[in-house]
Amino acid sequence: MRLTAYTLSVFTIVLLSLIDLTAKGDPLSDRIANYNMVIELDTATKRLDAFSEILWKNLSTDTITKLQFHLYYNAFKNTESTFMLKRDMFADMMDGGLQNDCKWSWTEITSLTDTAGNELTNEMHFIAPDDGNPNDQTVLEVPLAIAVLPGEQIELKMKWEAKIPGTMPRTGHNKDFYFMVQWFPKLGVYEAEGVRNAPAGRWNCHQYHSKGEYYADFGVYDVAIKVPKGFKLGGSGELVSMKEEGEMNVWKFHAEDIIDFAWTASPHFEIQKNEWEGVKINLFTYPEHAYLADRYLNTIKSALSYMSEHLMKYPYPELTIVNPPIHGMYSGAMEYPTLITAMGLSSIPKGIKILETLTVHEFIHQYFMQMVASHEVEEPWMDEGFTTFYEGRVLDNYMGEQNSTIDLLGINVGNKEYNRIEFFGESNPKIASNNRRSWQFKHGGYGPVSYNKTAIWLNTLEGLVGIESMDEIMHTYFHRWKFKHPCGANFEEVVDEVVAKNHSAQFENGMKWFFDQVLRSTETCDYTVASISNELIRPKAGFFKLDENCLPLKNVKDGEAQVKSTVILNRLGELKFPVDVAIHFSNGETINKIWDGIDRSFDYSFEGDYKITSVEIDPERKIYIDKNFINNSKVVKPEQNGIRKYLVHFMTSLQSIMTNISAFI
Amino acid sequence: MSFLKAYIFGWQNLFGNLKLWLSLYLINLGFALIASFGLSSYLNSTIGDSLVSAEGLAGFSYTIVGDLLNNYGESFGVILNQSIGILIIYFCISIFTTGGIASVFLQEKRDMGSFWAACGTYFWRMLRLTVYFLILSAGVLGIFFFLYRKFALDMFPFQLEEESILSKYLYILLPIYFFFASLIFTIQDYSKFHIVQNSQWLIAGPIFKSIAFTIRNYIPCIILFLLNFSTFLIVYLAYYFISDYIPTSSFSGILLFFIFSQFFILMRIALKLINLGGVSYLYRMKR
Repeated sequence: MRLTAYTLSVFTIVLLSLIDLTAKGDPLSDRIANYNMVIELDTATKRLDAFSEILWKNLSTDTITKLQFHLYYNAFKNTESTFMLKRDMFADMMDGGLQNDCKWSWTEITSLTDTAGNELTNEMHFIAPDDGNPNDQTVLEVPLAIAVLPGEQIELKMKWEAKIPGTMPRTGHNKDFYFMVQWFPKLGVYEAEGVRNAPAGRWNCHQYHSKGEYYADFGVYDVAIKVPKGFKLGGSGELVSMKEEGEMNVWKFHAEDIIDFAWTASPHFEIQKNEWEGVKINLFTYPEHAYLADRYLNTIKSALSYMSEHLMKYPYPELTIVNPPIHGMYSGAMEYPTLITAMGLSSIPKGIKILETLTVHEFIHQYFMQMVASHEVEEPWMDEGFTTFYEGRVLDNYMGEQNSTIDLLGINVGNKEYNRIEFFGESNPKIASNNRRSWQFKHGGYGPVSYNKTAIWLNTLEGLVGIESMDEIMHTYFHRWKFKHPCGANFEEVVDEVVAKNHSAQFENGMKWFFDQVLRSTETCDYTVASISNELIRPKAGFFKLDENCLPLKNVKDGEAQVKSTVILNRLGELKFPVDVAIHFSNGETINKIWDGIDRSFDYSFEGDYKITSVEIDPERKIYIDKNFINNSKVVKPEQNGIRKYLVHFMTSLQSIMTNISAFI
Repeated sequence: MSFLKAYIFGWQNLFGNLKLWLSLYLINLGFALIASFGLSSYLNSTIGDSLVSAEGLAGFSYTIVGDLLNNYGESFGVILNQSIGILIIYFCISIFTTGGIASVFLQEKRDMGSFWAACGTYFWRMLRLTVYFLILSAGVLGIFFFLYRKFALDMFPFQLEEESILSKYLYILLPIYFFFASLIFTIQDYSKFHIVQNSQWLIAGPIFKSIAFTIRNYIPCIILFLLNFSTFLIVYLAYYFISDYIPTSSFSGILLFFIFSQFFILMRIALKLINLGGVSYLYRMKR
C-alpha cells in the first residue's frame, strides 16, 4: 500500500466537499454515478496514488446487492488479458512499447468501505462476463454488506493505486506526456428492467476489449490532481483552481453531467484559449504545432455552430482539444467528455485534412456517446456510425462536398464520398452485420461496418425521407435520449414515429423493412440499367382475316413512324429500396418514375415520336448504399469526352514516367 | 566558361538533330499509345455508356474513380501490370538508343543510319553501364536512408521527442545526398562518351577514366549538370502550373491539354539530348 501523507491530508477536504457533491448547475442528467477523487501522480515511478469517494444512486425499483467496476488498466497487466489476446491491429505497436522497460500497468484497490464503514475488499473478485477468461481482471464485482434499496444511494470510500502503462492504445505515458483515460475504477451501469430493453435488472459492465470503450452513467466529477511543478494539465470539465503545494501543484477540476473523466499532463504544453458563444475552448499543443491553432479553432467553431443549429447548443462551459506530441500519437484521435484529441502533424500537407476530420469527428462524440450515452461496446454503430454521419455533414458543410477530406494537387475528395468508397473498398464488405458487439467483429470489419456503413445507410435514410424529416428524426432522437442510455430499438422507434407522421403514404408499414436490411443483414445494394431499346413501330403485316389480302411488311425510316422505347432495369444486389428513375428523351423531355425496386428485373415502355436517349436510376443518389453508381445509368450515344479526358491523363502520365526512368540511363 | 559554351552547344546540337529528337519522341508516344489501348477498351466497357463519364469532365471525381476500382478493379490491375511491362520495355529501348545518341553526338554524324548502327554496337555496354550505376545509385540512396533512419530514431514515432526531428535531418541529409547523386549521374554521363570513344568491350576502363575526368574538371562538369537540372525544373514547373489552367471539360480543352502535354514530353526528351550534347562538348574540350 502506498498511501502517502498527502493523501491522508486531503482526505478531510474530500469528505467536506462530498457534502456538496452534485451541486452547482441545474442537473442535465440523473447524476447516478458521482466521483470525488484525489490523485497524486508520481512521475518517477509512473504511478497514481489515489483516493475516490463514490456516490451511487439506485434509481431502479430493484434492491442492489453488488456493484461492478471497470478496472481498465488491468487490460495491460500481462499478456493474458482479453484486450492483449485480441489486440488485433494494435499488436505490433503495443508489443514494441511494452518490451521497453516492462511498461505493463495495473490497478489495485487497497481499501473499499461503504457508508457504514464495512470493508468490502474481502469479498470482491474479478469476473469475465464476456468470455470467461480467468486471467482477465478488468471487471471487479463487489458484493455489498448492506444492500442499496430502491431510491437509496450508497457512498463508497476507495483507496487505490495504479501503474500507468507505457504507450498504449488511447492511454498511457511516453516521455513526459501523460494521457490519462480509462484510468480510474469506474462503476458499470445498472440497467433496470426495460432500460435498453433489458428483460430484468442487470449490471452492464463489459471487460475491456481492444475495440469499444464507452458506457457509463452520468454524474458529477470533482478531481484534484497533484503533479510536479512545471506540468500543465488539461481535463474534462472546468479547471477550478491550481494551487502550489511545496514542489507540487494541485489542479482541481469540476465537471457535471458527464459519463467519464479524462486528463492529460505535460510540461511542454502550449495552451491557447478561445471562445465560441460563451463556450471556452482550450487548445493544448506542443510548441512545434502551436501554429496549427487557427485550423483547430476555425474547425471546432464550425462544428459547434453546425451541431448547435441541428441538434443542441453544446451545453458544457468548456471544451478542451489536445493535439498530442508525436510520441503520444496513440492517443491522437480520441473522445472523452468535454476533452478530445485530434492529431495534427506538420509533415502532413494542409490539403490532407486529417486534423479537421479528427477535430470534427471527436467533437461530435460529445453528442453521440457523451450526451446520448448509447453503448459503444454493445452497439458501436450508434456511437461511431452516427458520429461519422454528422462528420460528413459538418465537414462537407465547412469545406465543400468535393474537398472536405483531400484537396491536394488536383485531387479532391469529400468526406461523405470518402466514407462510402472506404466501405465498399473493403475486401469483404459483407463480413458482418451492423448490429454486432464490438468484440464480435472477430475477423475484421469493425471500423468499416460500425463507422462507414452506418453513415452510408443513414445517408440512404435521409435520401428516402428527405433532409427535413431526417433532421427531425435526429433531433427527436437526440432530445428524447440525451443524458440517457438508448439502444438501437429506441432509434428505430423514433424513425418509425417521424416517418409515420411525415411519410405515412409512402411507408405505410413503418421502417422495419429498412433496418432489417441495413442493420441486421450483410447484403449489398446494386441497381443497374440493363438496356435501352428504341424500335420504330412498323405497320402491321401478315394475315389478320383469312378472307382479306396479306398486308405486306413495310420498312419505315426515322421520322416516318412512332417509336416504341423500352428500358429494362435490374436489381443485382439483395437489398430492396424504392428508387427514382429518370428517363430522358430526344426532345429534351424527362419522365420521372418511382420503381419499388423489388423485382429482379423491371421495364418501362413508351410509344411516341421521340426516342429514349438516356436513363438514370436514382439520379440524386439518394440510395447512397448502392455500391456502384456507374451502372446506375445508361446512354444510347456514349459521351466520349469523359473517356478521352481519362485517357489523355493516363497517356501523358505514362509518357512522363517513361522520360523520368530514362534519366537513370 | 566552358560549361556555358557546352550548355549552348547542347541546345544548338538539339536543333541539328531534329530527326533524332522526333524519333525518340515517336518511340515514347508509340509505347504510350500501346499501353492506352487497353485502358481505352476498359473505360469503354465500364463507364463508356454511363452518364458518369460526362461527370468526370467536371473534374476529379473520387466517387467515380472509387466505384470504378471497387467494382471493376481487377481488369484495371491487368492494365496496370501491362503498363509496367511496357515501361520495362521502354527502359530497355532507352538503353538501346543511348549508345546511338552518344556516338552521333561524339562523332557529329547526323544520319539516322549511323545512329541505329551505333545503338546496336553499344547496347550491351550501355546496359552494363546502366546496371552498374543503378546499383551504385541504389547503394548511395540506401546509405543515406540508413543514416536518416539512424538520426531520426528509426522514424518510430514513439521514440521521437519532436516531429521536427524528421524534417530536420531530411534538410541536412538531402543536400549531401544531392551532391553525391549528381556526381554519380555526371560520371555516368561522361562514361557513355568514354565507352564510345575507346570502343572497348569491357567498360571498367571507361568508367575509371570518367571518374578521373569528372574529378579533374569538377567545376565545369557539375555546373553544366546544375544548369541542365535547373532547366528541367523550369520546364517541369511551367508544365505543372500551366496545365492546371487548361480546362478539360470539352473536346477542344482536352485536345489543347493533349497538345500541351505532348509539347512537355517533347521538351523532356529535348532536355535529355541537350544534357548529352553539352556533356559531349565538354568531353571533347577537356579530354
